Amino acid sequence: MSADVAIQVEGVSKRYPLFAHPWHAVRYLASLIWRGTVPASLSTGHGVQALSDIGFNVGKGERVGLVGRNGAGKSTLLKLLAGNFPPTTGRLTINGTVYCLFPGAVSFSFEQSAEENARQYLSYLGLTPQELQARIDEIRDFTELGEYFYQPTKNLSLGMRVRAEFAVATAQSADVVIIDEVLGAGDIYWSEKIARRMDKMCADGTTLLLVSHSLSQVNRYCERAVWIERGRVLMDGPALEVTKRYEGFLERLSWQTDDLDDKSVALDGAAEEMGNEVLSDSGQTVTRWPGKGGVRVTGVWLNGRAAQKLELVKNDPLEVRLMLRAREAGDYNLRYLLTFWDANGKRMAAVENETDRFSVAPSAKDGTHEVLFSRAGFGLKSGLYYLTLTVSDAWATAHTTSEYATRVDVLYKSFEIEVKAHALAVQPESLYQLNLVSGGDAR
Amino acid sequence: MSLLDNFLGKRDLLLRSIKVEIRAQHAGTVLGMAWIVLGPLLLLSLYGLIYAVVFDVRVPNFSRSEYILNVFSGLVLFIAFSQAMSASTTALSKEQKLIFSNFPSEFIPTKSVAVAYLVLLPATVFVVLGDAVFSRASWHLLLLPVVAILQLAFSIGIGCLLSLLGLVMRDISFLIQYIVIAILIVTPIAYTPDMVPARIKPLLYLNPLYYYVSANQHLILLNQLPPTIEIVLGTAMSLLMFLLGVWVFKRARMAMMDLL
Repeated sequence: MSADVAIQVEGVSKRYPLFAHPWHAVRYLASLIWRGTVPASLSTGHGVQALSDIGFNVGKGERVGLVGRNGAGKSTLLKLLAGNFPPTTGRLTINGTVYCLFPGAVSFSFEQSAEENARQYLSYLGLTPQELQARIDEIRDFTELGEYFYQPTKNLSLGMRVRAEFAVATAQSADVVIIDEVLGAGDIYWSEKIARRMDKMCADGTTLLLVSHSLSQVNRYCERAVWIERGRVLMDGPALEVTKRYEGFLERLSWQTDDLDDKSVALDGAAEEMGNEVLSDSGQTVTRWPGKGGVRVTGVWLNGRAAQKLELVKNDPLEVRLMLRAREAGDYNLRYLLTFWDANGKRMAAVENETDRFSVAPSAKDGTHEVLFSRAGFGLKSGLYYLTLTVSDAWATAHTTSEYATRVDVLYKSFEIEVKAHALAVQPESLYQLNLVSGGDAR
Repeated sequence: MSLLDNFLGKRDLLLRSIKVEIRAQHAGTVLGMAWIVLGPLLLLSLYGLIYAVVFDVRVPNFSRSEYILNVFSGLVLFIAFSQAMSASTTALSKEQKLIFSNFPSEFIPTKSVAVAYLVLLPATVFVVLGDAVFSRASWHLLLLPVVAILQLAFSIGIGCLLSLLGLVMRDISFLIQYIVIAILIVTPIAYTPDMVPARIKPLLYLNPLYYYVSANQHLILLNQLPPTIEIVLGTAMSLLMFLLGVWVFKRARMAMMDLL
């Protein structure tokens, strides 16, 4: 194993035995003790295949997010890593010390104060009394509990306790930090504080493996993401690329089932299908989310250029020209929405146009329709933004709340806009009205 | 020797975790750590009352107070052993979060056994004081820690096995209560081996606790070493059970992931 690799996962499979009767568990244990291995009959017969042939490496200092539905195998993988358990087949290697942060890993004894609890948890670390005291002071300052820090935990509110437990859990670190869904909730003030503490914990050189259902957290903390679906690696790549496809996958699933965790419902080859698609008219590579179809965006020009990435200075105007192709003749009443996301996956602004009514004559070839709209200037502060274009059916919007019925076509986070220099900061989610410059009947 | 690597290399961690556990157990109580001393004191007084006043057993060669001391020297070992047994059956399900961490997993049953054995410390002090006051103390008392450590080693071995069994058979936590009572009956604590009919006397040797109880009684009351055969068998059994328990536990480690 190379020295720059922190975690190496090679062809790892994990099968959990299923026991129809409690006696089978006893037999399983007996066989484990007697032969030293999981009995073959149990590993091939009844069982749950949690992981099948997973493989990836995490480099030293790399921050990787694991995404996937509940039961996809993420937690099994973390458990294998955390407890240093041998997988059913394959090999797991970790280079360096490991610290695992699992939900409930730190749970305070109610009879003892936060301070005593902290002292107990940290006593496992083998610190000198001075170091221990310094850590405890640091935890006290972070939690802002004041006198409550010295009160029995049962007198604390749930929020206070969770905060203190989080502070203790993150007061330690290691070469490799594994986190499973613990970046707690809280108000904005606390989520900022927690985020800063996380940054500190995963400071330079720390390797991070993060499991989270919050894709914005994955985008915020990780530069790379691995998408696991039904025990296999479906996609491994830059966090944004993976999470946006995963989001699209969930979106698509939600149209088929109410239970996103239902494993019988899956889209085969989803990752590929969600993959890049080249716009036939303007040539950029985009990520198309499924819509109800009917009309597809086939060309996008930003400020006149068929570019993937656009640089804007200060309050430069933005002009968007779209080429749409309708599959069938008919009357259309569409609405176009542009959404700006920052690099952390936060929605920063959205712009919407007036409804665009047009009809495609039965004789029209391909049913093409061109739209041009512009915005005089954005108050977006400088930085990198990802642009999503949503085409929705304005008629359907009035009659249903189902996204599926209204969404016609989506190009998700497919364009990048770099805003240079200092423009005015905007409030997140501010909505601008776009001017429809031209539109109308199809040619 | 990889079997005992953690016991040798990470004993500080083990000791710290035992200390933490003991403190956590007593947190929030009015008397706090005083219970460590008070508990055995209450227990011994109760047993003393029953055996001396209610039952009023008369044993040849023993005065009444000597008889009670004799009961106590066996009883303290039994109490520690039975508490350790019940604690270790539920240890793994209670400490799930430690299983998925770099805490050595064999320390989980070891810790719960060791915490249960804390009672032995003050209880032995009481018995030794009683010996000095009501009977005759001798240098043999210095060997009491050896007996305690051998029994602790045996209990850790048993505890490792029981904790695994508790994982696959929840029934064991019910069963253990009756096993404990059975052991109390078959161990010569309230009676002496001489009172046992000669025919079934050899059966005493099948009870592992007999060796420790007998050793304690020899050292405290009789002021002599236990019979050589008992020393050899008892020591060998302790060490073997300890090694077997830890070995089995490590070998069956996979079950912790699959069954929890």
